[in-house]
Amino acid sequence: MFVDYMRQGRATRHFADGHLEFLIRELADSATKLRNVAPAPGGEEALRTLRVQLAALAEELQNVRKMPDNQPALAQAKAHLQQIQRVLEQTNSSL
Amino acid sequence: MKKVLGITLGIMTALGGFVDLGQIVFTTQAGALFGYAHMWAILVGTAGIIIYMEMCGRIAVVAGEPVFAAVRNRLGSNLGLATLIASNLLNLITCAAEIGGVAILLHLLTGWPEKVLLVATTCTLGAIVFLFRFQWIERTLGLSGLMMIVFAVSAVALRPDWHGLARGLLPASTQSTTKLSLLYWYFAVGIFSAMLMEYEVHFYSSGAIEEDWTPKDLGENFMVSSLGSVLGSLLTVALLALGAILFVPRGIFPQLLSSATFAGSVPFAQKALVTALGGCLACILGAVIETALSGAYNVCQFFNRGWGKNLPAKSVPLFTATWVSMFLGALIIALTGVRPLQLVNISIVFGMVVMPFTYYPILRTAADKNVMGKHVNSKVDNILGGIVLVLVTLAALAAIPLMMLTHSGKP
Repeated sequence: MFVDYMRQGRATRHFADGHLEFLIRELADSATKLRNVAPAPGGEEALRTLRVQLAALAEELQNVRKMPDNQPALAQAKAHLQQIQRVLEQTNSSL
Repeated sequence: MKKVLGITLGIMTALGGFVDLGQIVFTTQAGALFGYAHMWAILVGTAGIIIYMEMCGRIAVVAGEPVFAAVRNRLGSNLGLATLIASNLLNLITCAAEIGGVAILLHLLTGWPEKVLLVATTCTLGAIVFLFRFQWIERTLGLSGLMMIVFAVSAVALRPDWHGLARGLLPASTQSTTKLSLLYWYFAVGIFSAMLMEYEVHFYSSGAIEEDWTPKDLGENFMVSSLGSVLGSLLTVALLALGAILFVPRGIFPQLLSSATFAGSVPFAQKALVTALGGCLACILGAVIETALSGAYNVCQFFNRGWGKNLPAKSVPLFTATWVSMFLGALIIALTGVRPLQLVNISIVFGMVVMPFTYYPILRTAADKNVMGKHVNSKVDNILGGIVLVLVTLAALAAIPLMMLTHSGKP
């Protein structure tokens, strides 16, 4: 949603950078919590997938932060983010 | 004409200063999880704050008794002192949360480092409070908060489900799972608490005395507390609606102030975003000052020492030292890096727990004919005030269990 907002030129530079910074910080917190979680029996694969996808999400947001005005890069980032979202939803429903 | 202008300014100030960090985030989150289903909580909260704000103002004007003097007189020294300590700890935590919120918003506006902004904000606000008169501070921030109207305009532009809004005026008695039910009631209590935060009535009653209101101003008291709160609650409805419209379809639970803020400008261009940021900033700055000054008012009123923003600082040393300490204490807490929204959760939940000890003395005093004379509560005032007090007490009993069972509202 926010990437679309940026693509439409509705976010100021500082707001986009700041909001993405906060999102990345939240992801880092979630990743730390996941690292310390012991998986339930049969849930190891799902937990591994969550950790991988969170790392991919953080990396994608860092890329967006570096290229806030690059429309093709933002379009690509949106596609990647949607892919990550699909994987996370599938993993969540399997838990 | 002057009177009409004064009342209009008062209403606008109340409208602009109605929301704070807790209300912005809590209400948006409630909308994101449950759509319009908490409209009734906003309605009940609005009725509650109108009733008690009007009573506080009336007590201050007629009896010359601000809230914490009433707390001391009605609860006695020991329970009153415990209430004072609890209320001021909450004021301190809330002040720290609001200062953190200001730093976040300024960072989003300027890109400057948050810790630098925390220190700069606290120093600037301290200087403003020291240098300027009460009325100037209140009016400037209150009227600047009118920029929050952009949230209402955005909500209308995005075409809310008006039928859903109306259905939300009745509590949804059951949800599909126990977890959802607990979350639903957690957010109901949170919205109710955020609208009735004690510092608002402490500040309002002290403000009535600061502004030298007399019984002739009881009409203004009624208009400001009722119309100002109704208009302010419309902003709260807008926040709920934005949560429902933008976040429910996308399955987003907004955990950041920045998420709640940009929701207020989604249909429009960059200027709307800056306006939304400006409106939130004005409201939260107002809350910083209100919580710090409320702390000082509470201490001086309880111990019957001199107080007053419009008096020379040296003539009211305890008052001055207390509000300065509130700012410094809040800054220290904020500099530890604790997240403002975590502090807000604590202040809203524990604020609910302490609330009955503030609201009960207000109701008792306003209903006391010996104190209030011909301006004593009518039967309707007593019944409505009693109903709100029962609801406040029930919410106070439920607040901490709900916080624990929902892990502070995590979906």
